[in-house]
Amino acid sequence: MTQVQGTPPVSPRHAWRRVLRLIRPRISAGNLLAAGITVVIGFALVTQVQAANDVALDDLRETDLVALLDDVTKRADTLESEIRLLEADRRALEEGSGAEAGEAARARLTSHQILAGTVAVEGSGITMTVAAPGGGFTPTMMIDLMQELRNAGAEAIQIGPVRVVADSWIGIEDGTLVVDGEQVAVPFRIIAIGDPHTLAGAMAIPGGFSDSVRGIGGNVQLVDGELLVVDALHRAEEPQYARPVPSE
Amino acid sequence: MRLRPRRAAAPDQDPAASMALLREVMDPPLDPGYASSAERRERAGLPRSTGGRTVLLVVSAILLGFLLSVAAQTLRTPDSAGATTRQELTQRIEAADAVGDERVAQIDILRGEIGRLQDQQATPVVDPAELDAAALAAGATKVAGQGVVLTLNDPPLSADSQDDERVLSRDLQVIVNGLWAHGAEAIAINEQRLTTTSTIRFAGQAIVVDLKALARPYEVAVIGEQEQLLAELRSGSTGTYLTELRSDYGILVDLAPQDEVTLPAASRLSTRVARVPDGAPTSEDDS
Amino acid sequence: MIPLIGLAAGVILGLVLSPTVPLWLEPYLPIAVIAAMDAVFGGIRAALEASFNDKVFVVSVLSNVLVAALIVLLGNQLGVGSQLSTGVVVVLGLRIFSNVAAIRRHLMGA
Repeated sequence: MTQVQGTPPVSPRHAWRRVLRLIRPRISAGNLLAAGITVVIGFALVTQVQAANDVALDDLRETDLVALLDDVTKRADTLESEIRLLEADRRALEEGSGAEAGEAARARLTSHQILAGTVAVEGSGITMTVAAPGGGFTPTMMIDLMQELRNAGAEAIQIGPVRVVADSWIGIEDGTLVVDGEQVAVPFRIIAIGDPHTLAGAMAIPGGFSDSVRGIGGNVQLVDGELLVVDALHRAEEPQYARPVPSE
Repeated sequence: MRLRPRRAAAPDQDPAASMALLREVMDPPLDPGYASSAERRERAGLPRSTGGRTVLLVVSAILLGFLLSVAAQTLRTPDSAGATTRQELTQRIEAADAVGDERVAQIDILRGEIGRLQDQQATPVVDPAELDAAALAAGATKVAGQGVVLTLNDPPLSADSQDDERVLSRDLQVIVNGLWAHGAEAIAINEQRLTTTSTIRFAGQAIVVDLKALARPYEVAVIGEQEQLLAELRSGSTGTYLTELRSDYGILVDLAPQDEVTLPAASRLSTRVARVPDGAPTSEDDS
Repeated sequence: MIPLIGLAAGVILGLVLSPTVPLWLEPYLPIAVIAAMDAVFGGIRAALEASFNDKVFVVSVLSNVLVAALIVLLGNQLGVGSQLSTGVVVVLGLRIFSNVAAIRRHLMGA
């Protein structure tokens, strides 16, 4: 730093000597520190890249996580009560009398028939009368309705004259709503069996079914009921391709 | 002047003159400040360089190092306070999910045992055939048969990814609706069998089927007449929808006909509120 | 050597203290790091050309970081923050590369 006064170094040899002087005191330590810094920079870069690529639970907002936790907890709880029911059934079959076993079998048959939509059903729930003089129903509106009702715990649903089950589908033909291939003329009634309070709450959600019916110039009248009857039946056809596989 | 002698010598003839800006960007001279201060010091009889031992330099070096590591740390964990609650939530979700999966397996075993016990009953009160038919229709049985497996996945993230370039719950709802309308007998999404009470919903960016968050890719497995299902998924309205997903949103769609698709049984199949009124007709009676 | 130790000391200090950066400051951090790196390489090049000056170095670091932050701020206000950030990264990146090239020329003659 003293002898080169006035003449800037031009030869590489000169510059090298300068570098050596800069780092000579402890070459290995200097190298280590430099390596450490590059590690820090590299780490920061790589973690940022990874964060951008990872789409898992970590990517959800906190409110979504809370909702999701609610869902999975609900799932675990309902599964537990299902287990308790099945265990009671098994006990009845193993130890109980013939009558008890028959009772258990009948209860399970009934539950399955209710879900399959092959029996009429009664219970508490809500009735909605949907009027939309101009029509204008879209399949997505009705799909949303089904999802909202099911999510609110509806066990049996009837739209107009049609029982809604797992394989029910929504379509639009010539501007008319079609449920499971059957035309549903406006105005129609929707009956859902389940907890009336939860169901009514689900229907009142902003942007939900009631709102979208209002959006097409119609209106929905909702009535709670303690004893409603869903009497439309789903014609269960023998599946032609799906055959039961005994669980191992 | 000093910095760009060539250009000053022949401003008009230099064919690279129009590239001066580019050249300056690509090959910039040393910060003019260094040059002028070095000259000043030289004139004052001092060494050109101040050397690397001044307090000012050490302080600024420390500050720079500080900036570096703080930046690295901050960008690594964007929000440490929020991160811990998130972590806790994530852990609880995963734990509850695991408990649920365990219970599903338990339910499977219980159903199998009950079925066997049922068969051993000397005088069944309920017609076993009726019981089996109802279980099949409700989705309480594992089923297999010819069908189609449709796989959807989000496009890989790129710099210009749009937020909507993802598979949405709406997409699955529309596809499932189309499949039911065209010959599907049973459907499962990522091993979640769809029943009368099944929901396909959205929690932020996660798709939730029957209260279970799904991991990508989304696999819609369908049993039904293969030709009819394929026709709908290729050229029907669902096919059009899939084409749009592919072309407009870059979603990866894969359609695989299979001779043997196996779908698991649904797990949550008890009813609590609904009862069957006495003497109610059933559709079996009708037919 | 001493500045290098200082740099390392700063890194360690940051790791040990790990201060919480306010949210509004976060968008500026990457750009600030790039700008500081540009100044550092400029300083190394100046040292190799025997014209290093500590005041010039400090001023160039500060002004680089400030201007870069200003551009990001302006971009955010105008709603084109990411585009302007990209521009800053491109320009500073080019400067870093050319400064490194100059350093390389001095050290290896190539």
